Amino acid sequence: MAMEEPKPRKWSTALIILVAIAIVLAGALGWALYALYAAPAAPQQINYPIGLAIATTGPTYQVDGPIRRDAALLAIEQMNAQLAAAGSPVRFQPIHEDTTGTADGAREALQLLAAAGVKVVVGPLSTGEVSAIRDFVTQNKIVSISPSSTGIAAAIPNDYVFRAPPTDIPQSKALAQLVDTLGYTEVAIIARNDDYGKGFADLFESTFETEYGGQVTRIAYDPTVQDLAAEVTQLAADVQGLGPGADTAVLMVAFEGDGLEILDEARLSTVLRGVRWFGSESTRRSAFLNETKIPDIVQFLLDTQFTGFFATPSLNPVSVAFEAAYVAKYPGRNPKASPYSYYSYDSAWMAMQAVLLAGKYDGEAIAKMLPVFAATYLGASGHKAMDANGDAISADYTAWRVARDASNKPYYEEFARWIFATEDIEFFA
Amino acid sequence: MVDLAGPLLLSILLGSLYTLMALGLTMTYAITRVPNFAHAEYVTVGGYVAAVLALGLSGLLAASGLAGVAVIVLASVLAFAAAAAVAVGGDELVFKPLTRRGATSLHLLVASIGVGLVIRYILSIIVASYDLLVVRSPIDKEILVTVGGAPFTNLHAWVLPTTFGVVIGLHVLFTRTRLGKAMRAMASNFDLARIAGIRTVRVRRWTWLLAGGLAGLGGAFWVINVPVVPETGWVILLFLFAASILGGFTSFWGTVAGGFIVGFAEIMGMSLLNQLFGVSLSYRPMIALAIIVLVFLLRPQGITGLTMPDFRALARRLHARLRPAGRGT
Amino acid sequence: MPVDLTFLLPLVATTFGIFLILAVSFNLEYGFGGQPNLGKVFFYSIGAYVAGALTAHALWALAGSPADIPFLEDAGGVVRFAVARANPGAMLGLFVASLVVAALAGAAFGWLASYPALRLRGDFLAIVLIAVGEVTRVFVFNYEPIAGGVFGLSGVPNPFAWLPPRVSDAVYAVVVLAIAFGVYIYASRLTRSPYGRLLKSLRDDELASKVYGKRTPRVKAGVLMIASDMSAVAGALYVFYVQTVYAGDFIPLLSFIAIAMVIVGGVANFRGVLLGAAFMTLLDLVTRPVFPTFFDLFWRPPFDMNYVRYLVVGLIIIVVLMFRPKGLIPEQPVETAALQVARRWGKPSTAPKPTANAPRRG
Repeated sequence: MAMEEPKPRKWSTALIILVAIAIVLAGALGWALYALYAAPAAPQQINYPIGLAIATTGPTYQVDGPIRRDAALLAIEQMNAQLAAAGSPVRFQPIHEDTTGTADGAREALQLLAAAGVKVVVGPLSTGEVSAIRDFVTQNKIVSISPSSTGIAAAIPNDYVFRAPPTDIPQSKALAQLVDTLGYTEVAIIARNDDYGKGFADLFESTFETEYGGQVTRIAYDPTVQDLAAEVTQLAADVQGLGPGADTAVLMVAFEGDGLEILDEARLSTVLRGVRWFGSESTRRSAFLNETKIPDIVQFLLDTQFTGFFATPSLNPVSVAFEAAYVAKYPGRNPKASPYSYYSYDSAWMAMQAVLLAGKYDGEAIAKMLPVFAATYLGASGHKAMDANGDAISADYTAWRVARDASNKPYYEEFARWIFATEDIEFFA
Repeated sequence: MVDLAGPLLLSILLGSLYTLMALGLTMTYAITRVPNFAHAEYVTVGGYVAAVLALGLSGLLAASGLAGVAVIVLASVLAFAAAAAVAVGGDELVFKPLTRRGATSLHLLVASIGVGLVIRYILSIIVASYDLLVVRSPIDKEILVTVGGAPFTNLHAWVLPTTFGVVIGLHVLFTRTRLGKAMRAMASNFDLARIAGIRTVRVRRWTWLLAGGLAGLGGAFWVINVPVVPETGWVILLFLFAASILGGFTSFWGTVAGGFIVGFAEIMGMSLLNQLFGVSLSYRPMIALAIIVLVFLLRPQGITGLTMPDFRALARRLHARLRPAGRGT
Repeated sequence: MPVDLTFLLPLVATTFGIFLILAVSFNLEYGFGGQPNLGKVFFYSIGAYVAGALTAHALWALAGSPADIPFLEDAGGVVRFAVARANPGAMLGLFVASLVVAALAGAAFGWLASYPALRLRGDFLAIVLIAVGEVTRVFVFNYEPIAGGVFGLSGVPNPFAWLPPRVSDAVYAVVVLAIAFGVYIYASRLTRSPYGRLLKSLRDDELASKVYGKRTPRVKAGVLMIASDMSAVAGALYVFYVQTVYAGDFIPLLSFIAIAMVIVGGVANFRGVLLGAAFMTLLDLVTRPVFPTFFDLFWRPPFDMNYVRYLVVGLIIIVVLMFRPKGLIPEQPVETAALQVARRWGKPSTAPKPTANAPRRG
């Protein structure tokens, strides 16, 4: 325990004081410099802050988070431009706080945003974070619009939490129905072990087993483990156990990093390549179709006719405009890399519109106007009408599978639709 | 039906990688008495360097098979060099001055935590600003041959011989060369080594160079397996410690054995638990960590120094325990 | 400055209080006891799991255990919040009970941890404790019945939830600060006594202490128990603040932050610990993207501020260890009450030696 101090220097105390002064001076100088660059408010400008409680670090969201945040920033910028052109004194000010994807981080972020005077927030991203802040935002009348939380665990009426995507219930039901309709009776699931993966897999399993009498095996893997070779090997064993015939399929519930890893390992297995693969909505990613980087994975997706659902109808004019604007503002990036960035854009848009409709920056008023606006809003991610829980009402889902287009590029071919109203599946010609 | 061919091959691969990466940890502890929590960051550094280089040369890779081999070799060498540089830098800046001032291994452990944090987050800031947070190496895994239904990949073909070569090389180093003998002398008694005229400063530098370099090499291979992120090293740090600790933290062969034991426990052990008892695979990180805890509680010196008489004594004690009537040994 | 202090102050105060307890407990173990508990987050999480599970289940029972509402999901959380708001007395009682049970659990695990602590050297012990913490985290994350597994257990209400929202946060912050200072004063008093000298003697030279007849294993176990106790209480306080139990929150980085606090402030020095905890709270606040907006500056840094925070923690550890290993405020000799009395009696010109008391049996 007795470690010698370095050779005695008479000026060490002085040095510390000097360093402290230097830091204070640097801080003051920096403050002065930034003050010069901070946009001075125009005399009659009304600034409404929009909080962005979006995780941008942490293993789950370090790639997706910034894309979703940037989509929200784009929406705010567009709105401000239009307001300026219209001569309105209103401007929206984005304030971002990183939640790191944990419950603790979400709570702190919300509290800090509240301290900054924010009354409407886009985010948090995951269902676990939403659960953690629900009571806080409801008690303090702060509106939270999550662009990507889909767990049924968080569907609660009369609170201040709203969600732009529909919950996983209709999607998992639709997927189970599709799997059954296409003739598969056994499914081997491999799902990430977190609130999203487990929730989705649980829903699928219960629907598939009770309604369609199918058989399901499940492999849950720890999302922090990077090397999933052992899990995929077990998946192959599961598939063989279920009987690798024409009626066995695999369901993958994963995000991008782990999804790529699973596919990378699975392509080495003839057993796994010989069965049909299905994926949750989160597996529909442009990164999976990058043929220059991962040709064998793309081939694997084609061989297994990788299939899934997606809630967003594509070729919607708003989504096309969003993609163009995003690429223009952030050259070299692509919103398609994170499917929920569309929802993030819509969440920010809805937040701002709700504020404008309410006419005042008050949480309670915003919460009332948000569903009113959403009811008639068609955004980049589709219809945003909300149900009693403040979650987007499910609309029809589109079924996609990986195929090659006319110019031999891999793409997500849309081949069927699940109709929400009738719960029927309609195959396109 | 218990299917073990796949897990077996994977365990061998993982065990080799862990051994490769943990040898450096044991070396720096045994020879310079630094329990280095920053060791895993050298793996991350090596991984990034290798992946970025391979990305840059991806044109060459597409060209021909031999060019592909050249790219892997070049990437590995550069990863070795970069990680070695970071390791030596850390030692020169932090660990050596602290040791000179009489820091205990505890102080050094805490300091290494700081060093690890600094390396990891500087790396994070740099790669985030270049949009390289997640880097996938363009070198693909391919199946070379199937053994009992399990894939033997090109990664196996690279890692297994390299680990074997490194182990043999280190053995030769420690037993036949002056440098290696100097290292062993320093490990066994630092002051005596200095009195005997060993240039401890130079030996120290070589130790850190090798330790960091080996970790970086492991990282270069690791990145062929999985994309590299800033947390890549940190996630496996405790497993590397498990491997070293099984070797009593100071034994070379103990670490080699330890690396394989951890790899096997993690994959084979987990697969067995899963197939026989239905334990979910998501408990996988627990296995290796539980090993550390158990080893420390039962036999802090690891598996080193286990001899036949030890086994017999153990058997006798177990026998006595199972017979409550008789008095134990 | 558009800062709503009614949100900011409780956040800062609660964070500071919890950091202070953690730092005090680490100082006891490491600064005085010479045992670095790098697995501090383990004991912290024990307190959190115990407090959270107890409160959640008790509130559920109070609500009549509605069978149609899932316990783990938000609907269950809503029920628990409603019950807490309707029964202030019961909620406060549960809070106190949770703290007590958490403290007991912490002490129990501290006692269990003393078994390896006695047989292992400092650096080995550190590694084992980190491993134990990680094993627990992975286990609780996967095994739902304990703390909600991957979903976490939401609906662990703030004990003052029945007050209006900001008031409840503020009152809770005051309570946390009070407990934190209570712990601080207790630890200061504990170590400004012959017991404190005993701990230091054990730390500095265990063999000599044994020669003097001190029962070192007992003492070491005792320190570990007290400190684990405190960490568990901190964990319980934390859970009531975040109002959710989530295994993923308890990562080794928290232990490293506790180390940094103690190292910066000064080992074996409680005033230094105050400084360290204050510094860490400030660092946490300043390295937030929202921080500049408090000053009407809407500047977004080109990189993520979270990275800067941990970078600074790492740099602090290195710099302080290298240049001021004794911390910013160096260690003082133990000032027992007897010493102060002796000073009053003694002549003003001569300062009595710190070892004025003959060593007694510990």
